[in-house]
Amino acid sequence: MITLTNPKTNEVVIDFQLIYDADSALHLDFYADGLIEEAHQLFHQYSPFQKINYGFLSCSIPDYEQYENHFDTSMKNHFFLSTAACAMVSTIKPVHELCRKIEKQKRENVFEFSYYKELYQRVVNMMAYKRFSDRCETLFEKPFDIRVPSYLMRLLIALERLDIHSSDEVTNFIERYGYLYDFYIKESRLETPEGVNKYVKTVKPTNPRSYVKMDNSKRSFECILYKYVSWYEEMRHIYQLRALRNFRHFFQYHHLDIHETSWKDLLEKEENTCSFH
Amino acid sequence: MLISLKNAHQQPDKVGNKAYHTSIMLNLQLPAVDGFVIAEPYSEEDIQSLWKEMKTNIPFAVRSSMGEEDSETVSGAGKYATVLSVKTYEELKEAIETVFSSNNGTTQKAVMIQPMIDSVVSGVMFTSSPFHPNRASIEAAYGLGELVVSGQITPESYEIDKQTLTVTKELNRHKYYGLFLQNNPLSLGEEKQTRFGNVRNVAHMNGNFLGSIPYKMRATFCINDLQVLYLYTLGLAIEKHFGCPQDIEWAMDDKRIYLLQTRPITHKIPSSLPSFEPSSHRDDVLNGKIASLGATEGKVKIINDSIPLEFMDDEEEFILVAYETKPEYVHYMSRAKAIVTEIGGTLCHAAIVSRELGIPCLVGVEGITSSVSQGDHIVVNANEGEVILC
Repeated sequence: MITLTNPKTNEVVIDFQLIYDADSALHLDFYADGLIEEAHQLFHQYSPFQKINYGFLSCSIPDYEQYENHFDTSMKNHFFLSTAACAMVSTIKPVHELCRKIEKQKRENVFEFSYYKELYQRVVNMMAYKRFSDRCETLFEKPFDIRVPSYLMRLLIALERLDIHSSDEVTNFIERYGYLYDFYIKESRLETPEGVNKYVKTVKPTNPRSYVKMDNSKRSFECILYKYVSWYEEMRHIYQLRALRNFRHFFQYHHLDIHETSWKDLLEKEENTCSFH
Repeated sequence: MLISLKNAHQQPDKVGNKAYHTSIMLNLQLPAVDGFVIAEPYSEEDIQSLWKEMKTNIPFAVRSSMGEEDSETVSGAGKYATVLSVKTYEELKEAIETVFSSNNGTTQKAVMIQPMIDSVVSGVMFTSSPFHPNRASIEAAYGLGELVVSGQITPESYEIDKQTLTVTKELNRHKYYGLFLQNNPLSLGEEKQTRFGNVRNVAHMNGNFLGSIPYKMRATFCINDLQVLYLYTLGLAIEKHFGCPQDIEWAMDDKRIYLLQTRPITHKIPSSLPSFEPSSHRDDVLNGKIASLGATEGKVKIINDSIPLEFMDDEEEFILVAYETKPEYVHYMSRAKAIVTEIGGTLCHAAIVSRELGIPCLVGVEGITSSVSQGDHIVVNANEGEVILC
């Protein structure tokens, strides 16, 4: 995690705007609120981080050092690792379920803020495990040759199977996979039929089978854990982007700026106008 | 002695080249920044008079204007100290002493004191591109120009075809940060409004702040084609007066463009390149922007803040690899066979110095500092923009 230490104010700051090439204040809020939620989800304690602005956290240097030491020590404990890995997996399904509900509503042209408020909270719970899975990768990655089904592989397989002459199939592809193309909230090139038709011609055949084999036989604890976490890390990535896409639809419906609207802006707007209708 | 910048051109032997050039720009009615020069010998009264004249224009920038600096043969780019955001009389006194003491060789010493521009965008212009004499080059980035000229940021590049006035440009989406003037107290995380968007304070830096830049600003060119051509027109006027291509630092606040300094371009474009065949190489190649042509190979010396500079003092020839270049590295740059940096633009100090020295230089070579270790053998083929790991 990239931090900036300011000895004059005795603070550590984390600005996700400096870390990720994200085009949305809300997306940076996913990371910032996720990191705040981390302490609660992983250690059942209050977070030492304080949110100052969208995607921007600060923390006192002693609190930060103490928290980081605790995090590092916990990452050496097998019981903690396996419990956290299971808890991480359990945060993904609620995002999936609510995304489906929201997408169904969208088809009926209904954009109820209460659902998005709940979706945001579920995404934040899921994002609370981002640093845990990142740390698992740095701890365990190198000794093992492990392959997991990347979200990009999903996209490629779907593209290979796509019959571009069937407009229904293209529409379904855009709905299910188009948002995976990049990291942005704005419409990706795979979210328009023209973009899909153009892109599909450049796709080279892959051999995805080798990537989806999950063989845990004769493996150590670290190896199994790493593979498990990496697998669901990919899933987390997919639902993070899917939730972001759904927020884009919400922003567009309510004529809000998709790049600059932060979570705080949404809450303030709700408070000022009582609803988004 | 204290001399106003407007009159400095009348005493070229006292004020140094930088102040002389700035004075000429002011007298040509170009949008240069007015101010004063303190030249040796000077007294406490001179500084008091200066403070009296300028205290309504705080903060100031205190820059060197030394004898050998900015001449037609030597730029001295990045060699002397610059102090920014000077706000009090005590700071002014200290800044003048700091800049004077950064010169321990030249006989003629002077410093230039100007009000600081609240730069939203700034950069460097070469009225003749280092590699294409038929084009002019401009590099620009958000914030104060210090990060651009010192090569601590990869700027956006613009090229102007001198015949057709066509502008060719390359958007840099990775301009995540800039150095901004802090004219009002700003707490960490707080935002400063600019006409491009709001930048937010990530770290306080000597009266300025490091600002993180939001997506909409990153996804937009720092300057538009009209501003590029306006800058070029200003550059042409200066080039015409001095009779040779110019290296110009400029800045833009929320309202207008200013010229901060100008100096002759010291580098001459070679008419032909010698062929180069590396002794051995493997397939790992990193690419970067060509800052100075040429090719060579040799042992790597990585230089950064955590490595004591004395480490560089042995006699062995080396290729200097750094994340960015800094004024304190200039001595070692002058002894290197080639220079490779991870960030920076083709008009930054590292690039200018390497062209003066006639050694190959590549900037913006992503991953170079993590790909090589001390003593590794590498090939720098700047003619092709390549670093080959051996």
